[in-house]
Amino acid sequence: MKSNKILKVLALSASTLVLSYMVNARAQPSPQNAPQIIKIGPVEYYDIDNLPDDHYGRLVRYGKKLTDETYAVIGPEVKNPKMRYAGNNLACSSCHQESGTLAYAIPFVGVSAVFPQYRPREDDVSTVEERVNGCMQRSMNGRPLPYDSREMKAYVSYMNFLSKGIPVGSIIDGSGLKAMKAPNRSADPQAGGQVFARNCVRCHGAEGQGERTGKVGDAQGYNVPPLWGKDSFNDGAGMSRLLIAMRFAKHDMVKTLTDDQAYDVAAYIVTQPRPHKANLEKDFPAKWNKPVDAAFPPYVDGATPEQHKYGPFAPLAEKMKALKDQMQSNNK
Amino acid sequence: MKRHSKNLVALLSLLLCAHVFAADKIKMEDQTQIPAAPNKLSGVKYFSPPEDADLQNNAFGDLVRKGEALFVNTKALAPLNVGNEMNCVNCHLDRGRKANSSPMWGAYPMYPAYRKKNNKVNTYAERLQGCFSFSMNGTPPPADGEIILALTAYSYWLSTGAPTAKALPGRGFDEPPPPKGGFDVARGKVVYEKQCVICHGENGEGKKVGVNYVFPPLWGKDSYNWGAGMHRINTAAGFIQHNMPLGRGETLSDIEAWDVAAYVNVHERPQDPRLVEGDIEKTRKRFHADDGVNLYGTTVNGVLIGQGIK
Repeated sequence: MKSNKILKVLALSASTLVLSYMVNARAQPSPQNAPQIIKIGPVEYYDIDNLPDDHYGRLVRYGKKLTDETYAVIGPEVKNPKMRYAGNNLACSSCHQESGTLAYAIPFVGVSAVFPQYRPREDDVSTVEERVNGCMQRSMNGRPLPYDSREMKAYVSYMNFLSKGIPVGSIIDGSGLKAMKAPNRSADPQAGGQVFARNCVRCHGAEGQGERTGKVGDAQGYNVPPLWGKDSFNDGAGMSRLLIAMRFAKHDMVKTLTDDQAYDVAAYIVTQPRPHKANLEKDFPAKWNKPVDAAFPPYVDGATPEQHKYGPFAPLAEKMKALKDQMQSNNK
Repeated sequence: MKRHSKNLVALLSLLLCAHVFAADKIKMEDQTQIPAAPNKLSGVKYFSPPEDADLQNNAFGDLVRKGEALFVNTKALAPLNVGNEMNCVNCHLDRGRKANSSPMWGAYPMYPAYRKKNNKVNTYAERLQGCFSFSMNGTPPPADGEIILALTAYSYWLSTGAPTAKALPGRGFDEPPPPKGGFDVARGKVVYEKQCVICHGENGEGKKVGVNYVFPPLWGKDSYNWGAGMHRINTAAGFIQHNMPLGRGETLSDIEAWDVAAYVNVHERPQDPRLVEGDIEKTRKRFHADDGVNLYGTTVNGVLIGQGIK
């Protein structure tokens, strides 16, 4: 979408909103519960320096620090063993770029306005705390934060700050990752290896090991995060699924990859070794909404584990859709 | 008691801010206290939560309905957590939907927020737990348990469309200004006997049908304790003025509301669970001296108030 078009849409929807409020002053029914589409602001908009130095302000600042320097506060190399919640030296901002404020880089903006929500991975409604702990146990390969810990409350408060003014239940334009249609073929890890060598090695290293800021044991994390190996996310993380890694690689990394290159390089990355998440088979307990690229058992649609890992995914998506439709008609 | 401001420009800019990023940066108010409800503008309705029929039939909808059931029948459904005979809906009328009755849509989007009451930033779960400790005189359910989750989901759903971290008109109880000559317990007794006795009883004991209360007890062992927000006369006056007598809200004068709130809150109720070293005076100094207008730890007609009920 071009930016002037966005402005037009915003202006139109803003005037509609104001009008609807004014009309609402006299007439029913109320449109105020209808979901609004909220655009994520520019990075400068989310400036914590704008906060006073009070309890809330300090907690929000701590949340941002935890996001940017996770390794230094709750990483596996911090001095106090009780504080070692994360199992690797990644930062939240390794994926949630610009401290969680960048559109289509899984931003935190608006998170407070859309949780609690149903999560297929748990087949249950999750609070924002549960969602944070999902990351802690997967992308951070660690253990959950207690709900009443200062760290958990700091994350929740930081997300609340980033969500200020956003109506509850909104649709956040720029949430998650940007959609991209995967090529309808099996992804090719070998071709992906070549894409990796040409586009990614420069920063992430030939072994995907990233670039440490200092040395092992100093809790200073990475300038460039490791993409696999023992200091990276585990196989229960969303990023270990091919279609997720593909979208991230396409839109949030060098930005010059073609769809085919992003698809293949993601295949290369998911082929690499990484820590294992225990009890993975318990994820997505409602089989009908298990993502087609969740490449771990149980498999419900008769396809091979290979196909769930490398595609082609379009036929799997069709099967899943048929399964869902069948379930819905059974429920009627 | 409707206080209307005429500043339409302010309203429009507020709405715009909620919708587009007009400003360069997020504007943050002073967070030392949760902002009170702003005045409702003339001709604008209060926020209204979604209708029951809007709720989906799925896992989320099921959890919301569970939260609603807990909200209405708290004592029956969370007996381990409720130490008196109160239900959430006793203070948050119309299932937590009614403006100026501390509606959930006014509360939920405001958290996490700093509260002077416990001198820390509270998450919504902690705020709910506070109600269980004081208004319900009970034991708070765990923050990661099903009860808090269901009540949170219900509050979230009621807040659909309400802006995150912005105070809406109608949140809280919108307290009337205190009477110029001060409140008067004796005058409050007269109001109580005329307006309240028929439902809440001569001794504030409420009314039961079978084992269930249909009108809540206002004092005594089955009511809120001395740590609850409702023990503040200013808070109770706001609730009463807008909502009592039931179905005839906003018919009492501000003075009547203050007087009858004082009469209700001069009566004994379960002790403040934060009682400091068993000492009412110490407890008054630490928790009540700077907590609105209340009678805890003071002497009224020669009687020390705040002794609690054994």
